[in-house]
Amino acid sequence: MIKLENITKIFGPLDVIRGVSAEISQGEVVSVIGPSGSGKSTLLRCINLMEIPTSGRVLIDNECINEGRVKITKVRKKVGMVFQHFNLFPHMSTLQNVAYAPIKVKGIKRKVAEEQARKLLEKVGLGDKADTHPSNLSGGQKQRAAIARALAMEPEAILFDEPTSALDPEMVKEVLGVIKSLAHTGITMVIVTHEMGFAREVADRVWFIDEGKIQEDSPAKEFFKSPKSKRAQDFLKNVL
Amino acid sequence: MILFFEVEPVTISLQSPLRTITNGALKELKYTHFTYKNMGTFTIKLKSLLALVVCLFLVACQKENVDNCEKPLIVMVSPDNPPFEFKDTGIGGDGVLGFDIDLINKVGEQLGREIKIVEVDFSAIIPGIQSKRADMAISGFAATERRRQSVDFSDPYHSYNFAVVTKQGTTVNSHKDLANMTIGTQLGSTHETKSQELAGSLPGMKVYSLNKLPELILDLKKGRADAVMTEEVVAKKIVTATPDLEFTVLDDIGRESYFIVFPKGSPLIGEVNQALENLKSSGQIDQLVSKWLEGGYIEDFDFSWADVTYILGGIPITLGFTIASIICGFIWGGILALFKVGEIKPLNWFAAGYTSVFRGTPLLLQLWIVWFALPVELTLWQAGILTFSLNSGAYISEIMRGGIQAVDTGQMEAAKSLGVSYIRAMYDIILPQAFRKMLPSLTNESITLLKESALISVIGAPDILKRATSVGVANFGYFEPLLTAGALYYTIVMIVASGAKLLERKLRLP
Ligand SMILES: Nc1ncnc2c1ncn2[C@@H]1O[C@H](COP(=O)(O)OP(=O)(O)O)[C@@H](O)[C@H]1O
Ligand SMILES: [Mg+2]
Repeated sequence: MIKLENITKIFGPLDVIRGVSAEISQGEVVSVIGPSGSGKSTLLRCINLMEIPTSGRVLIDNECINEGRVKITKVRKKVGMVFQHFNLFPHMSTLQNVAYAPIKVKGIKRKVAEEQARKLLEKVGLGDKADTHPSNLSGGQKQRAAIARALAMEPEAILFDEPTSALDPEMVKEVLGVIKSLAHTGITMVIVTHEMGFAREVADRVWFIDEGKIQEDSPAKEFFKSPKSKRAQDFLKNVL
Repeated sequence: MILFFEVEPVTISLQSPLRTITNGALKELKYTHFTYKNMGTFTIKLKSLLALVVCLFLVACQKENVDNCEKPLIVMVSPDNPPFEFKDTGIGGDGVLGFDIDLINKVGEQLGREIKIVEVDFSAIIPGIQSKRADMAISGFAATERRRQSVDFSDPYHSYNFAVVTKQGTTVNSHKDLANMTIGTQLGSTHETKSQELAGSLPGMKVYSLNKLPELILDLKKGRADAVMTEEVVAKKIVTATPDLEFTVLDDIGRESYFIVFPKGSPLIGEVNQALENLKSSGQIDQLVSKWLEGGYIEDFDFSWADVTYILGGIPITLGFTIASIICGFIWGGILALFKVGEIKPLNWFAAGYTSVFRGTPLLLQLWIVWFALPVELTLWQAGILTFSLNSGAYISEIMRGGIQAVDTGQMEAAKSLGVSYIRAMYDIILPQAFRKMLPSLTNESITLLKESALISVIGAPDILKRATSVGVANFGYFEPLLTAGALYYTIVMIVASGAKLLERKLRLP
């Protein structure tokens, strides 16, 4: 579903991504781990063209999206994103947050979109919070609402950039629970996370990233049992 | 503009040099613009502010010599010399009345030509006539040798004695008593010349000049002047208006006469002299003398309810002007702000340069340039609103840029990630949040604009301030009208401020 061919990204003097090639198939859950500053977020953002790769090709459903006329709108409709800091729209109610993009981007009727949004909010356990503003939600509730917002566009894939890093520990579980419930529903997920237990349990595969490269790309079970590279072994030793 | 520098630099106004200069120059140049408009030949496309400044000089340097008998005769008047030329705002009108006005209209009747009165500052009349911006001027002018070098005069139409106005109790029996006194006179007047002449032989006599008679009276009351030199009838009017003053006729220093002023070599002089002769012989001038100068005309010098309503009439003008400027400035500021936060380099540069120029130059200067340098036909309103919008656009764009950049970048990211276009995201997501952050600063800017709107009185718009000063001139008293204007501005500002507070509260996020 997603294919990266020799992606690089340079920020000024900084070589952040140094040639990444990888493929993710439909419905797969990939966990991206690695030390901070290694380029995980940048790589993730290259997938939905929040960052335009300096070189290399990004293919979504076998279509290259970053060559010629960049097909930003197309990729954004197919690939959703969930941010570390939720980024809910504070001037809209939770329901409006979820229904906004379907109405304005997909042109769905308000009534239909709100109906759908309500269902999604129920699905993430926020059925009773539809009409409150984000400022009245706890961190965990905000992130669940943000997930509902991403889901409302009915994307084929969702990219999660450290979805639980900004949460108080007691709220991590509820968010991971929601993400877990999405796994193996056919939706493709790429999750940057420091929750190793969660990665081991939910992910099909793990990308271990360091210095702008995928140092190791293995099935999750294998990776956690016996990481091949020395760096991955050291990294795991430090975080576990 | 050139003319403005040609103003006879005899004495420098002490009290309000800026206003003196701007009033005169602006009114005068407004008039220049007007004549060129009629010529209909002036079309220059402007590319930049630089070109604008060039045009300023082009407009000023052109000379007009079209003489069209169909057109009304343009007559310059400085309406601050009751009972010869003044505004009686007490009766609610905005026109100029007085002895000179009636006289010139009668002359017009004799010539079979319509008369069009143009108000300018006294100091701007001679230079204005010199460069033929009007067909003639009437404002109690004496024919001094110095003036004869630059303009021509009619035969005299009225003669008078000099007089000094003093506080009650100051003894002046003859001109000799003016020794050791500070004498206020009207800038550019014969009284000024006469006073300076006297000062040459009287020890300790000092002479200074201001633009308007009421300002001198105010100085007199405050003790900044010991006496104000003027002429008999005017002195009489002043003393009627202000009871604690008295006047003394100085019949030992010769009489002076009034003349109509013409551009050098004007073909009208002969006709006008003939008309004056006819008016004299038919007794019509005597009628005017008894109507205006011998107490037949009763003026109301008190600050009356009619004056208040006249000043209140400035509210729609001040408000309309301010609101229009805020709306246009808001739209233009919004566009500039988008230029600033966008990623197109030339637009970034343009917006930054624009803001820098408009914030770095006086608003009054900008108003000048727009008002008389733009070769486009602009009404007073258009020029005022254009200038204020261009100016406030610069400030508002900064406020908006600040507001937009104060919105968390994650908001735009989230919108983008949902496939929302940049413009749409700006409109739906960023601006509503930015607006809440900007509201206090926008309110401030609106209030500033409201207060600065008083500047349009400089180019002649009858707004609150302009009306208040007119009333002040007519009543020989500035205090009440200015206080009224102040109270009006303050009330409006308070209403705006509390309206903004309400809106802020309403928009506050839960
Ligand atoms: N927009 C940007 N401009 C310049 N440098 C950036 C930008 N985004 C990320 N970087 C740099 O790229 C490197 C990798 O960042 P990031 O992908 O966020 O790492 P990670 O998510 O693994 O912590 C860091 O050194 C960061 O400073
Ligand atoms: Mg990161």
